[in-house]
Amino acid sequence: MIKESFSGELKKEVDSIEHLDIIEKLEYLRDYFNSSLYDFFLKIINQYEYNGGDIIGISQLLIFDSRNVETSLDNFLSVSKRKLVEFMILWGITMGILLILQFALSMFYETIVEMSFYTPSIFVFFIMFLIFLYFFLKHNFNLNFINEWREKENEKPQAEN
Amino acid sequence: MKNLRQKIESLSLNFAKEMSILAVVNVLLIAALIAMFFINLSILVIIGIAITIVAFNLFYLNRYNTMILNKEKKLDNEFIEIFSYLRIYLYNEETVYSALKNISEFASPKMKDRIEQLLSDIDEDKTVQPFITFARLFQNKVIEEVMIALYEMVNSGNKDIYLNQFIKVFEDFKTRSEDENEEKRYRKFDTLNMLSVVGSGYIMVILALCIVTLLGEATNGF
Repeated sequence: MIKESFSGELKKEVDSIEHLDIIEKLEYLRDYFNSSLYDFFLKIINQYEYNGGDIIGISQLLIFDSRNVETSLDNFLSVSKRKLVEFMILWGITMGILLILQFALSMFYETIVEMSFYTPSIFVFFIMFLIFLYFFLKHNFNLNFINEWREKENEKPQAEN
Repeated sequence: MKNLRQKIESLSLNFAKEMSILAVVNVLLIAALIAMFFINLSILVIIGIAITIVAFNLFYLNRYNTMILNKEKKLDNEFIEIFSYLRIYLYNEETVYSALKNISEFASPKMKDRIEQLLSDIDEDKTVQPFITFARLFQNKVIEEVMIALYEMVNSGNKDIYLNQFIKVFEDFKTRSEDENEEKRYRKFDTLNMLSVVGSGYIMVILALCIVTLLGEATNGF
């Protein structure tokens, strides 16, 4: 029944392992989710398998934590969309100034384009724009805050500072 | 206070490589500056390159402090994540010792080392000291409160009242940290959007310079 709520990609993954039993399926999906929350979920399932008990009771806090992660992801996605629109509008206005200068004030533009510093300065402006765009998109699509330390998992162990 | 070499090495970076990159970029920028001087390009371009050299060096050498702070902050965040699992184990009636052993599976190598050290210290010393020593390895001072609450659980044999106290202290800390991190992420968006104002300001300065130059030329009769 819960399969209905899966994303297309997850459905495809689950369909490809239809022949496995439920525990093997859950183990297989570890790489798909790649989250310590999921690893912990598997631990709880194992614990339940060996010891029995009330599965809802033992996973109550995990469900609560997962819901928190989901809420913070949803909030971040909605804020990031809004901020992306703001970013585009603000830079659009700045680019608009240059376009007005080039097309509406063409006489003035022809004079200033002859000035030695104008072209390099506009070049620097576009470089600046590309750098800021890179940082903005990097932050906008960065969802590593869910478990950011995992990125460094393969880092060489080192002495305590 | 650490010197530059110690800072770079504490980040698992190669000191010689980092300094070579700094030297190569500086040589290229200085060569560009000298070339511009001989080509006799506008003084503004030359000033621009000189400012770039200073800004690059300041940024490059200061980023190690930021990287160290980020690294420490990441460990604090990892503490929150890992100890969230600890509280689930405790809630499911595990002992503190076995819960600590279990959570080390989910930890990064550095955190794992710290937890293993804590476990071996607990074996030798039954006082609160190992918990305090562990907490002091982190930047956030509230971790000490969390660890004291955990010690009280050990000392009282996992009594419900101490379990609830630990969960309360930990949840408060977790909520506060998550709120701070969230606010920081959203503030970064605002900062990045503010940079577009820098872009507009830059364009305005260029246009003002163009107008001043034109007026100057007109006044001088060119």
